[in-house]
Order: sequence, then structure tokens, then C-alpha cells
Amino acid sequence: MTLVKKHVIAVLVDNEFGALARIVELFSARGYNIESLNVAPTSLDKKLSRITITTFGTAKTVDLICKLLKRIVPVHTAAELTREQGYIERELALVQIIASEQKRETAMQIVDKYRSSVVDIAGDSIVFEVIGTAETIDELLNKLADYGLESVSRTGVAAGFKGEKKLANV
Amino acid sequence: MSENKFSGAEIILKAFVNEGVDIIFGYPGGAILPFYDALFTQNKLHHILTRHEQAAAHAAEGYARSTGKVGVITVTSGPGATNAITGLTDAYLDSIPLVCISGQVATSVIGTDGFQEADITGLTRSCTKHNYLVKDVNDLGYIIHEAFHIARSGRPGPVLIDIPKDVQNNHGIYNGKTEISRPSYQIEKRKIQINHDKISAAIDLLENATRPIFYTGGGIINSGDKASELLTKFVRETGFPITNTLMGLGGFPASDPHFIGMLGMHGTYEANMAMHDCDVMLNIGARFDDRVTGRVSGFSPDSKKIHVDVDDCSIDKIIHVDVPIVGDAASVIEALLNEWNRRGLKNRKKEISKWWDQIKKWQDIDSLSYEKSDKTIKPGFALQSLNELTKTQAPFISTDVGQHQMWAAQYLTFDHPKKWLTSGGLGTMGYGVPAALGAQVANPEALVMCISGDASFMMNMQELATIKQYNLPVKIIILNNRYMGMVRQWQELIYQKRESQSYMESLPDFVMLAESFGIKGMECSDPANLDQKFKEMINHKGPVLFNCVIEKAENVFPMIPAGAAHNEILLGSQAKLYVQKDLNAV
Repeated sequence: MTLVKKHVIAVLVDNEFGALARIVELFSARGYNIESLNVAPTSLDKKLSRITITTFGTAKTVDLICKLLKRIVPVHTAAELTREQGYIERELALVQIIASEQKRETAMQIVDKYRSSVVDIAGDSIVFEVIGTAETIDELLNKLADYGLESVSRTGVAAGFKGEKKLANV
Repeated sequence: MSENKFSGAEIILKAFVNEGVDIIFGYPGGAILPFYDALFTQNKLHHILTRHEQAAAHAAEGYARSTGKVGVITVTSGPGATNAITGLTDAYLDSIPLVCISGQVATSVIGTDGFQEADITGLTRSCTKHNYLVKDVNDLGYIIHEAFHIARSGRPGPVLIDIPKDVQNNHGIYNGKTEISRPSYQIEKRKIQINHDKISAAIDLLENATRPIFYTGGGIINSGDKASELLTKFVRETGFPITNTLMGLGGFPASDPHFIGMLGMHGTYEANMAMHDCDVMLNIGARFDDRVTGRVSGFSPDSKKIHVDVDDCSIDKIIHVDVPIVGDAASVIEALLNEWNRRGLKNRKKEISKWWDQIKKWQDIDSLSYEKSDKTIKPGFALQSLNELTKTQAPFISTDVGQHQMWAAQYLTFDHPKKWLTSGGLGTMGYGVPAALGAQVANPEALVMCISGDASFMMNMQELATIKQYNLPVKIIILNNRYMGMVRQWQELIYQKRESQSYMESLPDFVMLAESFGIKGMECSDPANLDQKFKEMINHKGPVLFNCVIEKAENVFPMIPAGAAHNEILLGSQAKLYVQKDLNAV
């Protein structure tokens, strides 16, 4: 299969320096761009981090990357989250709008249709948070392009399997 | 100071001793001086001073490959460590266990472009199995033991530990060798969990095969002598033909009649044709390398494939297989053999006699034959002569990279594992001399020979000084054709004989060169004298550099050109007709 499509990969890894670099290099060494990257310690003792990577590539290469990920010494497990297996993904974005009152009002009418809430207002600036899939956030940002969209900070996709399936058992 | 507190440098030495290290290859320098100072005051570890850090790494590879133990190197920061990178990459590609200690500038200086500072963990991340930057001396002991564990277990490989100068000087706790607990690295667990359904499926295929073949690689060697013994037993019990990869030579005795030669780009006609035409292929410890498969779409089109590998990343990477088995070669072969016996299966040589007849016909083509000459030394002639004179001693053979390497693989008889030391994956010119040196250090009584070429030899010839210093009786045979022969061969076949930069305009007088290092130099260009001179070389107690002047433009055949399939293999007589279809194939 040479079809290039979006892939979401989840990795459980020891929370130590060098681990992330080794993971990221598997992608860059194959000329693959990491579209989004989300990393944070997820175990209570902070010893384990969970990484979620989205990338565009062929199924064969992504499959090999997943196997190679598991070969990295500090990696506990790695798996692609696929539509067939069923997975959920969410991303949070902080979006700032700087515009006249009239434009801001129109913008907020658009934003209100999404899962969002305002987190900061100062002068002509308004910052709100929005949660959704990466595609949902893309859609909203496109709509705001003409209404004073100033800056965006996105967390990158966080994702997991649906149901009782565990990444640790993959 | 409490009893178990030591300086970082002392901890390194103690941990080495506890890992059973006896030899270190290395080169001192500023950032590793505390370690070298501690080394000076002890006598348990023997240090071999090479003349270049790349050579230290290759010497450690030669040591590791010839003993099955972990090779150890110590180098300084910056250029010391970057020089070692080629050797680490070589070990990574050929799955050789190494531990490399590199000195680093003090932790307070890291990241400030200090003198001889290089981000060596960053630089080696993609050519090591794992690496460490040690920031606290109290972690040092555990890290060293973990590094040895990682280097030698599973699919072996190089591990680097970068140790800043202050960490070598600081005092910390070392409690000796402790149990390695690394939940993310579950190699041992995987080793025992061989899937018995897969074993059964593999035997189903093998017992019904009419054109079976064993295709085995370096995984047999890495798994240990037991894997070779079990493989030999299994092949003889089945009566099936076997071919080895370049890395797998010696894993099965080459003089056994089941062996049909090396396969791949310069493998025998019979091995490649059998791979192409087989109906069941059992790959153990080989990775379908492009030098073996040729054009992937034309690779063994009608066979069911079984692939045994300790590294599941190698399975289905290049070639789709029908029965994947993840596990250590020895354990899997044992399981296969048990299942074969449990079913009461007998030797199937008679049942597959048609297949053996076909193989015999291919063997009769005698694809390694060459035009004899009484005027110039043909490389095949030189190696056959050397083989006859030395094979009863089962010598260790290292090579460099190029035509001489392929000729050595074709014409020498490897009946035992761990005797064949060659750079297969990375193809590193300059590997041969230091690898031979390392093997000789590990096996002081053995005959160790390096088959080299004039171009490769010159890439690490400074190691003659190391050989002299430790009086290592290594025999270096340069098959000298005054060319980068393999480059010239490709230029002749593919680039209409445009010999771009492949001719060695100026070569040293190798005899005088040897003598300037205090080593015996010899030379021969007359085939009539060669046997006598080789005997003299072998009987000489010390090291010898032997300049064997061979036919200038001999090519290596057979040859599967890059991008061609096994059944498109060229014999010497067909080469002139060849037109390469895919110019991007390498």
C-alpha cells in the first residue's frame, strides 16, 4: 500500500531524557513529518509518559515505525490507533482573537457552536479554549480567518482506544 | 568515606571486572583522563592502545565476534567519540555487542561549546541500540551493568555511555553487579515464549516440501555455538540443502555436502537458483537484506516462507512471510527439531531427490570457476591456495570491503562459527586490519588472517603500529590489483568502463611500509611462487604484511546486478551482455 494517510500512534515510555529524541528520530530518518505531538507523564509516580503522535504516511512504513518504536529500550509499548479498532481523539486549542467589537461578536457566535469557553478578555483581545478532534479545530479556525484570528496554541492530539482495550496490552 | 564509595573512574573499572571484561580497546584524551589514571593503578584489565578510535571500535568488534563476548572501547570526548561512530554504526548493522565509554566535558560545561565537546548521545542515537549520558556518579554502576545487559541480549548491538569528567572524578556508591530490572526491555521473557502453533505450522510446511531450502544468517552466530550445533543436526536430519548469508558463514559447516554455498549478489549459482525455485524457505536469523533478495518483486516467487528472528522488526519488513517465528535461533531450532522428531519424520533426501538432482545440475555449472593463468595471480587461485594451506587450523579470517571480501567469502571454507569477521551491513572499508587485531588479542594462539585490498588496507594501516606494539602475529594479505576493484567492476559493467576515481595512481611499497613499522613485509606476483611464500608467511612467528599482486581487472562472479532477481544471475561469460535496467539500484 502506497496510499498516504493520517495515522495516530500512541507510545508508553519511561519519562527520561533522550527517549523522546529516539522516538522522533524514527520518523525524521524516514523523511516523515510529525504533524502533532503530545507528551506528558501519565502515571501517578511520573515515571511513565504517554506520547501521542499524528503523522501522514503509508501503512507499511507506519507499521514498521511502530515495530521499531517497541525496540527502543525505554519504550514499554507502542501501537497505531486505527478506525477499525475504534479510538477516540481530542485536542485542545487556545485561540486568540483581536478585532473590533462587532467582529468579535460575530466570531463568538461562531465559536459558541463548538465545545468552548472564554479564558481571557482584555481590551480588543479575547482568548477562548476549544476542544475537539484535530479536524474540528481546523474547521473552526478556518471559519475564524476573517474575524481577527490572531494566534493559536494547540496541544496536539491526545488519543486512546475505545472500550476496555488497553494500550499496555497491545 | 564508607567502604562502597568510589570515584566514577574506579566504578567503571570495577563494573568492567564484574562483567568479566579482560580487554579494553581505546585511546586516551582530556575528558577521559580520570579513567585512564585509574586504569594505570590496576592490573586486572588489559588495555590495547589502537592508533585511531575507529580502529578501537573495529578491534572490539573483532574481539566480540570471535569470542561471543561484549567488546569494550574507551575513548575521549569530541573527536575521540566521533571517530568511533563508524565502528559503532558497523556494529549496529551487524548486531555486534559493544559497550563504548566516551569521556565528556564536565557537566557544568556541557552545552557551552567547550573544548572537544560534542553532543555524542545525540550523534550516536541512531547508530546505537541504546545510549546514556551519566549525570550522577551514583547512577554509574547500575548504568554500566544495564548497558552490558542491553548490548548482549536480544538482537545484540552497541551501547554508548557518555561520562562527563566530573562524574569520573566524583565519589559515589557502587554496590556491585545487581539484577537488571527494566520493565520496558523484556527480552528474556520473549525468548521463552516461542509460539508452538507457529512451530507446528513450520513443520507442516517442511514435511510436505518438495523443493525446500534453509537460508540462515548471522543470527545463528549471535545465538551462540549451540545454535550452530542444532542447525547442523537439523539440516542433516532433514536432508535439505542449506545456503548461508555473508554474515552467516560458518554457522553451518561449509564442507558438509548439504551446503550449497553463499547466496546473494555474489553467491553461488546453485544457492541463488535454489532460492528462486524453492517451494519452502526456512530463514533463520537472516533479514532479507537487499544484497540477498535482489529485486524484491522477483524474490523466490513460488515459495512459502518461514522466518525465524529474535527481532520482530525484521519480520515482514522487506518480504512477506507465511510463518513468522519470533525467538532466539537456538531455542527455535530446538523446538523445530523436537517437533520434527515428535512426528517421527525421517530424512527426506530420497523424497526430494529430484530437487537435489536439479541442484546438482546447477552445481555442475561451477559458477566459481575462473580462467587460470600462469602469468598473473588470479584472486581465486590465491585464496584457494591459502585455504588449502590453512583450513586444518580453522583460522580466524577478517576482511575489508570490496572484491577481496567477496572472493574470500566464495573461496574459503568456514566450518565453524565465529571464525569469519567481515563488515556485512555497513560495508566499512578499513574494518579488516583492526578486526583481525582484536581477534588476535582475544585468541593469542590462533592463526588470524586479514584478507584485504590495496584501497581498504590504506584506510586503517596505522594499526600496523598497534600490531607491532603488542606483537600480534596477524597475517595481513593484500590482494593488490591497484584499483578500488569493486568500484571499477561496477564502472565496467554499468558505466561503460568509465573508471572514475577508482584507480590507485600511487601506492606505497608495502614491503618497505611493513618494515618501517618493524613488521615482516612480503610480496609475490608470480603464481608459481605463491604457495611457497604463503607457507613462509604462515610459519613466521610474528605479524606479516603480504602484498599479493593479483590480476588487475578481474571481476567477481557470479553477480546478481543490483535491481535484478536471483534467476537473472550473471556468470563471468555473460557479463559483457549486461545492461542495467534500474540505475538507482545500489
